[in-house]
Amino acid sequence: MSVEKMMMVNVIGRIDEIDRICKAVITFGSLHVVSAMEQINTADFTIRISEENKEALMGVTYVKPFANERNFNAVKERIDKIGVIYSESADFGRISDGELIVDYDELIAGIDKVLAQFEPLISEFNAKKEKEAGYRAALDNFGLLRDLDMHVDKLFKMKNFSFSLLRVSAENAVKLNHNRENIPAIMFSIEKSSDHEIVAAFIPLIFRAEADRIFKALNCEEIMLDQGYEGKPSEIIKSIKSGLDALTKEISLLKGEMEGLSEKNKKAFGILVKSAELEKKCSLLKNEIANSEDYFYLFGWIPQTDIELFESRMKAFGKNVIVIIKGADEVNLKTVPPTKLRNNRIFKPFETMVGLYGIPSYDELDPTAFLGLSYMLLFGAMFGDAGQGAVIFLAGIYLKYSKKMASSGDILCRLGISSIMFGFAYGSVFGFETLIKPLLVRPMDNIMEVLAYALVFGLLLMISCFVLSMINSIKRKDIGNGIFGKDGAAGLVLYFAVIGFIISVYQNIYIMPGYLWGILFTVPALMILFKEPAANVIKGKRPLFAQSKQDFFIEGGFGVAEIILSMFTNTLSFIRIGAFALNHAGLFLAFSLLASMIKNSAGSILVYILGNVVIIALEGLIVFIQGLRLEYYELFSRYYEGAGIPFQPVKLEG
Amino acid sequence: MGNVGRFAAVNSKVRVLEGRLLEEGQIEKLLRCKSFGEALRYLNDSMPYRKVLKSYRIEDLHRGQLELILKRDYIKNFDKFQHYFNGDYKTLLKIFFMKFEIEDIKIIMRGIYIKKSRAELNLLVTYQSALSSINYEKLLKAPDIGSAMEELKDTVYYRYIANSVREIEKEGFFRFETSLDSSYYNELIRFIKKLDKEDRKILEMISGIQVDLINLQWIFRAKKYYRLSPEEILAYTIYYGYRLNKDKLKELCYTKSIDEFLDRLKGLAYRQIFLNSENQDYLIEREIFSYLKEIYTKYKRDYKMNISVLYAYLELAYFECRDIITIVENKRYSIDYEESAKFITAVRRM
Repeated sequence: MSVEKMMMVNVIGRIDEIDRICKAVITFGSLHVVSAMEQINTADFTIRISEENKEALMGVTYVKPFANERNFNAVKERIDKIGVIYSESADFGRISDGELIVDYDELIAGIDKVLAQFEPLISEFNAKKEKEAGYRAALDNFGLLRDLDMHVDKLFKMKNFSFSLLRVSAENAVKLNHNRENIPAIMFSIEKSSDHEIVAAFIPLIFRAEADRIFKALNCEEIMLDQGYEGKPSEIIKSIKSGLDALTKEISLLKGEMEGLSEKNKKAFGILVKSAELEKKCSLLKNEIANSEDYFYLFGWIPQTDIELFESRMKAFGKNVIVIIKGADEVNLKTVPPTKLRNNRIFKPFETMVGLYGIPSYDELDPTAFLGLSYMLLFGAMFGDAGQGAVIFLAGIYLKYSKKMASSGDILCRLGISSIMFGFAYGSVFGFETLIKPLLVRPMDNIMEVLAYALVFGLLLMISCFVLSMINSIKRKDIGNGIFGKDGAAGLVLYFAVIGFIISVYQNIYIMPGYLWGILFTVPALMILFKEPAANVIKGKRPLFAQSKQDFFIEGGFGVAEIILSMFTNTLSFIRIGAFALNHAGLFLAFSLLASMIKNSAGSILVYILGNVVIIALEGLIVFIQGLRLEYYELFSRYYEGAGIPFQPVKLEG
Repeated sequence: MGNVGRFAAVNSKVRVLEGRLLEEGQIEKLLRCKSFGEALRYLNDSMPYRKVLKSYRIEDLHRGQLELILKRDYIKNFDKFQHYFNGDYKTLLKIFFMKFEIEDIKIIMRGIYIKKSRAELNLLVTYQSALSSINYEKLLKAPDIGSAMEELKDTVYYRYIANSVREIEKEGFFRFETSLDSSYYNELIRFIKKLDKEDRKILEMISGIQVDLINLQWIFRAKKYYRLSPEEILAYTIYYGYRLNKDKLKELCYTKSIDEFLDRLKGLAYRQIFLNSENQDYLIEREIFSYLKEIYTKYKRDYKMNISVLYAYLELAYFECRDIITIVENKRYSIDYEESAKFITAVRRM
């Protein structure tokens, strides 16, 4: 439940080893790379002066961004060709890092070698496919003449007429038919559809040119009949069909052959594809690298826990590489370390929800555990039902395993469990409140108490926020916000004062004399008002006021009033937890009333089921959103900034 | 959704944009300018166009550039209005837009055919908008007509031009472009059947009149210059006109001479167009536009809660764009006021 410690690593290696070292870094898979030029240009880039570092040190003055001259397209094109044989999602099985091809030329040669095996099969396959398309076109074309009971020769070899099949668009067919009497051809419409018409035309040879011009003007497309066929159309269709059948068999045989060959080469392919991926990642990595004549410089962040492993991996390159490691506090302030969250299994899924708002900065508290715990409680309290909770839990399992949506599924499971527990506390199963005895309280019978509990729970959450905010301020060494801030110590005192005062007035209890209340209100209020100048006094910064004094007091005065108001309203906001617990029972009450009004039992059962579905889908969604709202708006805004950079190591997928 | 709900906002927007159209006096003034430079300066100073020309140096602008700038500015109207519609009416706007897209396709295809460079082709793109159905990026990359057609495969145009494109090598662009042109009216006439009765009637009438006029102009030219057979002339016409049904159209195609042709138009308002232009083919176009402009101006004035207001605005704004381009062109070639005024729809006949 914390943010992982990061170490800055400088890798300096001989330039001729750049590929091997980069690829080792990628397969290591836990280095978040940063731009080397930026790092070198900051003043604190230092190398210990020693005999072995001498050359690397000398090169630094001539350093420039690495110019990647290798053309990755050559690899990509070849891999795409393999893609014809394998689908992209093909499972190549596990491939260990040791099997990957590191050398670029070897990779190209490897892909070429495999491709060569397939080349003849692929070209044969394409030729057959083309032939198949030809058959299909002929089948379609002769299909138009299927009702013709005579030898096609008689059509093709007329003495004074020529025969054409024409495809005309619907709108032009209207014109054609409208002017038939003037077109020198005998025409039959043999097929009609909404967007075109097929016309068979017999054209006297002496009028051929004239007719053709008219047909052209009407944008007619002549359907070419293959004159190589003989016999009646029905016979021709039959023979094409048998030819097509034979061809289809050949194609499927060929496919089988290709699949067999690809199965045999699967492992080799897998290695090639993954090696290509490595090559691609490597070229991305090189964009961030700088180099001098003989050396290259690579910078990145590695979590402290992985440092030892990294050093041992780099040892393999012996004298060709120097690794320098620094703590995050030794690096200049501009370089912010990335954030890698570490949480136990219960809270891990909630990292997604934190991520929706923003990743914590490196020096901020990881709010995941607090969010996870409070969100589960909020959801359960608002949607407490043992039966419906179980449904949500099952939905979570389904999402996780069938839909491969791991984090959403995990969150739903946890919410479901919380809902089940609260269900037992409220004594509610699928909305029925009479089946089991409540362990804690039955919301509908104790409305005021439930609302009060909700307020108290909200109060506790708010106080936790003040504490978390103060811890964050301490971590950031931010005195202004920690002591004087509206979410810091002053804010907390003011909050207690507001709440205490309201309780004392409302419950008519005497707590302390009036002037003490006055002090309790005014002192923190003034602290908040003078936060900026006061912090500046402590830090010794000048000027005290960043804006004109007049503006400062007007703005600040309203600001404090707004803070006091919002403390009150934010707390009241938590009443909704109780309200939704009631709402949940109330909604079901409406459905059970409907069910009892239906006299036959099958109908009532249907209404009960429908009611449950509606409640789970609709109320479940509302409660989910309301909970999120409380987390983000009421709580996060008090203590959490979320301006961090996520830790994204260069590594191979899968 | 009722028409009031649909058009209340659109019509208000149209009102605002109409306010930016030039008045007749302003066009007249532009026409009175002595030189190309003066006309440009006037255009830059007369309110609505200053914004458009702001980012250019007026002195360096040449005529072709100005044309492109004005047309590209005009087409932004479609971008603006698309946000006011959804469903069928958005589709309708897209169909209105086809007319301009077709112009781009024609000019780009010609550009590709004569192997213009990529940079030159880029300058041809005039009517790119959020409503575009063609992918300009890919289309401009096409090395030849064949691959350009591949890029057009998923558009409505493909069905119309797939056949005629094969003959470009042999017979030129005439048939290709005619079928492309006809696609606009075919799609429009087919689509307006889906609209509410009120809008359907308006669009059937206005597009019908446009079709009538295009047909008449075509038959007139074909008779006068091309010596095509009546069958061919008829084949290139567009059916579903407003006043000229297909039998009347056929009759006109089979007339023996121009005089007979005009004779047959007796009793139709269209006849005046040919009389006004004294049978001078180059003036017919302007007469047609003036005729249409009267209808649009009436729509504008009536300001009814239906498609007529928007349609009229889109057309009127286009006429203005055309008029300005024509005037500036005339100035560029130092043609005098009297002669230039003949081509302008905005100036009444004297």
